[in-house]
Amino acid sequence: MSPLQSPWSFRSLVRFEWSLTLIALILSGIGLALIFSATAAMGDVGRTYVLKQAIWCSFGLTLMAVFLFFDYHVFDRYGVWLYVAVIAALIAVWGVGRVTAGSRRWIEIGFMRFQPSEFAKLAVVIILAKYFSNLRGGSDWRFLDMVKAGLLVALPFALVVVQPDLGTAGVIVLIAASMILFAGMGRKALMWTGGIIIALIPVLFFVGDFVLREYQKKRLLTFWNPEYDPLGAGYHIIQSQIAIGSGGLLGKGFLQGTQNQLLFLPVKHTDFIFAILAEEFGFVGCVALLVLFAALLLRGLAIAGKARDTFGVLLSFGCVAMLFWHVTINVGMALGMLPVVGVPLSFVSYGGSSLLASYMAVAILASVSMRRFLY
Amino acid sequence: MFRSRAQGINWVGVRILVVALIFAFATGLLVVRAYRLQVVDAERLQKKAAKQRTRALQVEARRGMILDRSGEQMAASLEVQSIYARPRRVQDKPRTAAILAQTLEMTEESVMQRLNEDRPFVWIRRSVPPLSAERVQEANLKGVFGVSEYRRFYPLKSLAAHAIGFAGIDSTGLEGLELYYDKDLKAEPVPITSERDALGRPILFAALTEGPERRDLHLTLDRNIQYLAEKQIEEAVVKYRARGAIAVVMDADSGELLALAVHPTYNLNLFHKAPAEVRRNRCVADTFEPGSTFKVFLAAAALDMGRVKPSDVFDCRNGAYRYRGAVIHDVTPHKKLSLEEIITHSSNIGMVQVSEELKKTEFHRFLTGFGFGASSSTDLPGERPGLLPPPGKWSVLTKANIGFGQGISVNAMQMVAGFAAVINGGYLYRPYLMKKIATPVGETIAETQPKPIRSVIHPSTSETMVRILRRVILSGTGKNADIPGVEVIGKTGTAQKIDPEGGYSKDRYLASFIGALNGMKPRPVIFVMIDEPAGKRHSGGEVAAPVFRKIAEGIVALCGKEPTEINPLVAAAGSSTPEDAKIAGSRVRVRPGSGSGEWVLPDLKGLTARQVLDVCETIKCDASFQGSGVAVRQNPAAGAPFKEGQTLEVAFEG
Repeated sequence: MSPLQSPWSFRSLVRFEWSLTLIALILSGIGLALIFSATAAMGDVGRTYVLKQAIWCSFGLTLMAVFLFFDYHVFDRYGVWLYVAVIAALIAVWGVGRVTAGSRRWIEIGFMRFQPSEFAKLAVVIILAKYFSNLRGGSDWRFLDMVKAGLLVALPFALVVVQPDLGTAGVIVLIAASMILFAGMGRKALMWTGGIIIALIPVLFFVGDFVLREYQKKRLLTFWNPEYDPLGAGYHIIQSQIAIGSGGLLGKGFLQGTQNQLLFLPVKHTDFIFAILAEEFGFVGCVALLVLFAALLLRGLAIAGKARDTFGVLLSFGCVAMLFWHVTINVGMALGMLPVVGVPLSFVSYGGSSLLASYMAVAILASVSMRRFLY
Repeated sequence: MFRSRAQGINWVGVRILVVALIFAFATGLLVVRAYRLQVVDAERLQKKAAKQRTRALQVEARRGMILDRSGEQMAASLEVQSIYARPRRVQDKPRTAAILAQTLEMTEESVMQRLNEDRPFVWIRRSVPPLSAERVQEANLKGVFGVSEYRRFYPLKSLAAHAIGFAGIDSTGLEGLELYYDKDLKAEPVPITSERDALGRPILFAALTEGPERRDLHLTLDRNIQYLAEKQIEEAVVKYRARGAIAVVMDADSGELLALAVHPTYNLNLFHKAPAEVRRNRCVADTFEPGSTFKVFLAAAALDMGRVKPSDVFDCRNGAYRYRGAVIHDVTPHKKLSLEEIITHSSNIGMVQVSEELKKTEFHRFLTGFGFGASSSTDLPGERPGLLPPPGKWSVLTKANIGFGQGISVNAMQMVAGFAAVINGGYLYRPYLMKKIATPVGETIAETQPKPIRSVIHPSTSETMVRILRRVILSGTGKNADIPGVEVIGKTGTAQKIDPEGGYSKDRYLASFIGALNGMKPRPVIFVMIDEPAGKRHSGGEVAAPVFRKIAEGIVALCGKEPTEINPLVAAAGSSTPEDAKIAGSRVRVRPGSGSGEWVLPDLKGLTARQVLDVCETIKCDASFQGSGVAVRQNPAAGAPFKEGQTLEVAFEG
């Protein structure tokens, strides 16, 4: 069978993936409202944040719409080139990237800024889906297969680590690990990999001591004991928890969050946007958001379960895994359960690249969903 | 691979289910955690949030002013800017230090040192000029902030420095009246709960008005007399190359201190540069053997007991008197002198014989009655009461010695208060500087009511003493203090200072004069003491009496010869009772108008500019003067109603 069916498969549009799109739109709307609140204290400058995010949303929707006309198997055919392009962009960041807060993460194109590392996650999902689906079936994977898969992940991982962007790098590893586990490693391969990881832990500590920057070490340290440096590295954790907790059951109301509006919350329109939701809309708002995300993920999983081929299963699962880790790490971090790392809350956090990548993931899921009946 | 395994069971389905369970578990964890924070811990965290964003701002209230008896500011608090840093929030320390150092005129190292301190709060510099504060604000340095503080300012600089004392940078009184009345002057910091943001900037500020909480200290001091006294003792110190000098002027009939001059003095605005030696208020902190001025008290005691009469004659043994194993000398030998003449010519030998008329205990009772040996209870900190030994410890010579001012140590305040009691009918008053403490809106918090502590001698004795002391000026040692046409009374004193080696110094003297202007009301008692005048002239009559005379002349010129109030204007301005306010040194009366703050303009014709100014002060007007001489025209006309704050035009000619 040809992976590329007629690009204009109108039949599939009838089965348009309404639920996913709707959830994505609702989440984006929530995101816009929260960014508005987060930047309200900045006045007109704050408005531009909201405007930019809205523009990115429309970009994402357009991208999604365009993508729906294509079969997801374009990724099977051209996935390698996407991967190469992302790697090239990651290398380019090193050359022409903008330094913000001590790391190079951005490429500027016109007035927009791209963060290639956000797309690296998707590229890893696609390349692994392609790689695993093309492995001969039946027997257990051999150790060499794992090494190859590991290398495919290691390249973007390394490029993101040197930026340095530990959060994104961690998410890449988690996505890859999820996919490998999901694809079902054999017992032998599992044991080998497990053994190597355990053996690597002390090495990681040793290397980590050299590689980790002072602030990164502090963040990890203070995660366990936030009061260690309440005005320094522990500040984020404490302030976030105060904001969330002071929201109470029903919240203080839109734009009424004192911790938000009085600038106690750090990086609140990006990494800590959940805290704003929690402060202004309370526990009820948090649960609503988490329910929305859970619905999104479960719908994604259902799509993966019903995909018509292994590539579709792995591709859609990878996308779900990416969203899952984003949500879990970001919310867990805001709630003080996980260390502070720069992982965005998909659809909600301010940031064009993250938003685009999230919309692309949803587009892929929709594509897999809509084409499951086409044989 | 799924396909190969998908026999029997749906492997993909199982895996999806497991993943879904994991998702549900993770979401559940997040929800539980959120529940913990937002429902279980909500109250605690809400409190924490509230505490974080609100803080009781200790808004420093403005310290009360110190005003002289006419309401002139002698100490006031100005708003100044201070710069502080929160070192942990400073981002680029070297750059911040460089900018701060340049703007605030400090060295980069010292700024850096402060920024590197491991404290949440450090002062960079306090009391900076407004312009510098503005520049720091404009530089927008992270972690660097400005705050308004009050700084004490003394507009008259060194005037009455020792009486006023000073307050430090935290508006805490450190010396003088600033210290004594610190609690009254210091308005309690006003706690204002304000919201603040993460940068510590207040969000809401309760309106900071000049609160009526401020309490001003109104003094009895008269800045003109004070200036006069300071100027005269300074001239004397220069002229006689003395170590220092003091002058105290007090109203004999109330204890109100009108001037308290100490030399050397210092600029209160630069108090930290003045050595402690200079800052010491010698009027209360220094005790000394008074010398001949003290004869006044023995004479008063003996007369009051009826043991002697002014006309009683004593043999003064031609200048040398062998007495209980000692030889007493007079500077000028005399043969027979009446008591009156003994005082007039200041004969030690005469006084020794007068002392024979009193028992130890009797004399001691009078001395304590006049306030010696105990604090004068004046409202200045740091008073040393001097030493008056109890009669049981007196040697055979002590009574005689004290009679001419040796063997007892006193301070200037005691001398003035005691002397006032001698001449005012016998009443000992407590010398004081605080007239009243009042809020800016005129509410009186505290007021000193002059009240005699005790009656020491009979009024008739006092009258006799006044007569005798008048003779001192007319025909005795105090001729240099005489002012024609004014009833000057007084007594000279020349005390040898105690030699640290033992005995009395041959060349170190305290030249003093204590006297009063008897005809005046209030009756100023003036005490002048010159410390170690160098050169041949060192006696009280030669050195101190002329200084007394100059101060007295100045007071007469200021207040007029006739009995007048020195300055009744303070009362007139604030009082609501429609009482005529008299104008100093003239007979001009200003009648209050129908409403409050309204006056009926008097006829100013013939008045001097100064007198017109006094009127202006009473009716609180802006004056526009033309020409010089005496007033010839005025606008508005005499008798016209006049509202406070209006402009009064006056033309002078002649």
